[in-house]
Amino acid sequence: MSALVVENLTVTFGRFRALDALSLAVDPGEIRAVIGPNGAGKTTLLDVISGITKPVSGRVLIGDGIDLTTRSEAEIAKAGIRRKFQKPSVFPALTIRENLEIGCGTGLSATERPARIAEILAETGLAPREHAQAGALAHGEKQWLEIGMVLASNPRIILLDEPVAGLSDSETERTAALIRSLRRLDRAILVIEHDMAFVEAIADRVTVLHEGRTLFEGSLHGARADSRVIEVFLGR
Amino acid sequence: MAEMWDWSPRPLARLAFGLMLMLSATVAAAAGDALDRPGLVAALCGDAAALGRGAEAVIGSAGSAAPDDLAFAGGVLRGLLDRRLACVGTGAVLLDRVGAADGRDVLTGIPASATGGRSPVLGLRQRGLVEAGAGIVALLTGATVEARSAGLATLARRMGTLPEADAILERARTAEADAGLRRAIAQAMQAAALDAPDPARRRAAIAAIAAVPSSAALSRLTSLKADPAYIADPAFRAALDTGIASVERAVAIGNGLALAYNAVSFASILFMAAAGLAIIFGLMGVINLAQGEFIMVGAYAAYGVQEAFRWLAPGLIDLYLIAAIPVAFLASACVGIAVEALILRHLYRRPLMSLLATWAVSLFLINGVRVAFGSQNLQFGMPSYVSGGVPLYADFIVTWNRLFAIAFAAVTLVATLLILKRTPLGLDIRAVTQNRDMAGALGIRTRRVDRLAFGFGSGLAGLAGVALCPIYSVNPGMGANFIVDSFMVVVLGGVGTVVGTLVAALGIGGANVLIEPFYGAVAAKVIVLVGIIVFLQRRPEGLFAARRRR
Repeated sequence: MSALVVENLTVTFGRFRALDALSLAVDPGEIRAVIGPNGAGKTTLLDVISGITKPVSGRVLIGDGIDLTTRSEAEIAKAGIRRKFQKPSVFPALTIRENLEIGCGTGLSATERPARIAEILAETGLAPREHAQAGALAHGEKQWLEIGMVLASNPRIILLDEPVAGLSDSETERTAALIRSLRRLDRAILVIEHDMAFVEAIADRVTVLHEGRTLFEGSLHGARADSRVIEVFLGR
Repeated sequence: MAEMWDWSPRPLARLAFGLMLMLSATVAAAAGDALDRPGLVAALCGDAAALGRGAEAVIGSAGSAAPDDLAFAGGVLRGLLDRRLACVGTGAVLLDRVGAADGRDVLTGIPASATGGRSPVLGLRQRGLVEAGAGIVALLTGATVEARSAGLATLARRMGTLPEADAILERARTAEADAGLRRAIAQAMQAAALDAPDPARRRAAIAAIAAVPSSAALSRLTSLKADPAYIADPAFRAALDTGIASVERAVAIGNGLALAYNAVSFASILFMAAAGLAIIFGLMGVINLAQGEFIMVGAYAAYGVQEAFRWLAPGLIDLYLIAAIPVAFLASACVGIAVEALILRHLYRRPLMSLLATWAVSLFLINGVRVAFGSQNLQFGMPSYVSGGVPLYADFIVTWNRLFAIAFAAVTLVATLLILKRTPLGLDIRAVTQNRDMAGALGIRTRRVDRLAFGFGSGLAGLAGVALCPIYSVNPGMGANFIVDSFMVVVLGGVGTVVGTLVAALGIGGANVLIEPFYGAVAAKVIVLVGIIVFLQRRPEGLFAARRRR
């Protein structure tokens, strides 16, 4: 059974169809990369899953048959779905520790939190700067902090929107290693990314979006060989 | 001699002494400790000259006489003035009321008939002396503060003609228990010294007045410039000029302090109103034009608490202002939460709509209160801890009501910072303020945070209402006085920062109050507004902008 199922999802902004009857399914334990040119609907897909945007039609189901399109953002978060935004969306005026505390959400009791926060601080390498303001972090550190915030609540579905945008090569490698280490059988990870080397390093399968529809689904190697994908990315 | 005139219970001896005195028609000014009672009675029943000397004797001995002697003399003089003293034979009888057939013997207190007695007739000079004597006795022995200060007033009118005034006033001042009357006595002494014939004493009096500066002291000294001695005596002129200069300086400093004090107290109330506004605007982008009316709701809640105390526990009414604090907070918070839940919830991300809606709420509240309570100012009873004050320097008085507002605002500031920095709700409020989407994605129930924060911000306005009711008038339209300034504070301070709000409140409140006395209230507002516009041209994000994204 799939961890995340998107069925016939259509989202319109005025007359613009951002998603056009899109369907996809992500298996438990899978890392899925969603790629596509700008305006293909990648971020809109994440917006619908995390409850920020409501679709015109279609459903988003998670494991136990809950339809996320009918739920509020907070309920979706409570169901174990966490998202990292495209731009680093840490809370700049809060300390790193406070950011992670919010990341823990309501699922963890006050007694469990310190241990969990310490774990995340160690995993992301931010432990020495625990009490610094998040706004003072470098770009790469903000990305990691945000991933840490996403991780803190042990989510079962993780949505990552361009986690390595603007990072150096070594930072990208570190991030790739971090994301690979997140893979668990009871967890599905959906990544949007432009960096093909990064996608190759982490993704089990890729979905290529174009104008709100699925152009291709399968291995990255297969996508590279697909004539329609080549036309969209390189052609015209 | 004093020994000889001592009161004796034996009628014969008394008679003999009285006769002797009568014959000699002399009342020696009793310089010793004891008053010559029979002598006094005899003198008062004697001719006009003797009567005058009797009164003078009382005045002369008042500085040192024993209290019971004074009380005796007071009773006799008062009786004389009221025509209740009847001279019978060689003694006198004090009547209970004018024209009564009998009373008590003045000296022995034994009931006696007044038949055939006569009331001494007072000439103008004698009446003055007797009045002065009675006044002095009242000042020294009066049972109530009122009686003593009436005595002081009588004495002060005749100060120039009484060489003994100093000793009497000194005695009264040391014995006086009431602080206000003690001050009045000291002033009378100063006045006496100022008018003294001895130039050195006058100069000392000028220096003494200058040592306790106030605007009253200033006008006193300035009026002395018309004194002939000011032209004739260079030493006097120098002393007076120095005194006036030093008092002028002190009064100016005192006035400056008073102005600053008023500015800080106004800023305190502004801060409480604006802190709520800043939190609401920072969190939800809602420009809450009803914030001024939330202040009013708080003040009316305080009034309700006062009335409840008056009905249910009149003995504890002094405590109503303290009890009103939580009530006003909750009242305004409930109104705020109701407004959020019923109206604003549907208007998020539509700033113009929410602005108009809150304006409508503000009009609704103003007119609702007007219908329910009328548009007159509410009458607040002032508990002892917010009335009066302590004179600190020159004319600067630290008034308790303003200190109450300042302390209240300080406590509110600390509590607000603690709530925002140390509680889970505060963390949620800060997170949602900085990045609503991310906070929502992380499972914070942003709508609930909005509602609680709106309630909290409204409640702060309610607290401002409690703090201002001892200082400003409370009526349905009062919110308008604060809302514009509060918004300027929020804009200047930077959205969503408590510290910025504090600094801006001090700046704007201070500027308003400081400019007002020189150019008027309207000009003050204009100047402050222009200053803010110029400032915002250079720093559009305000003094302390929280770094955030929307």
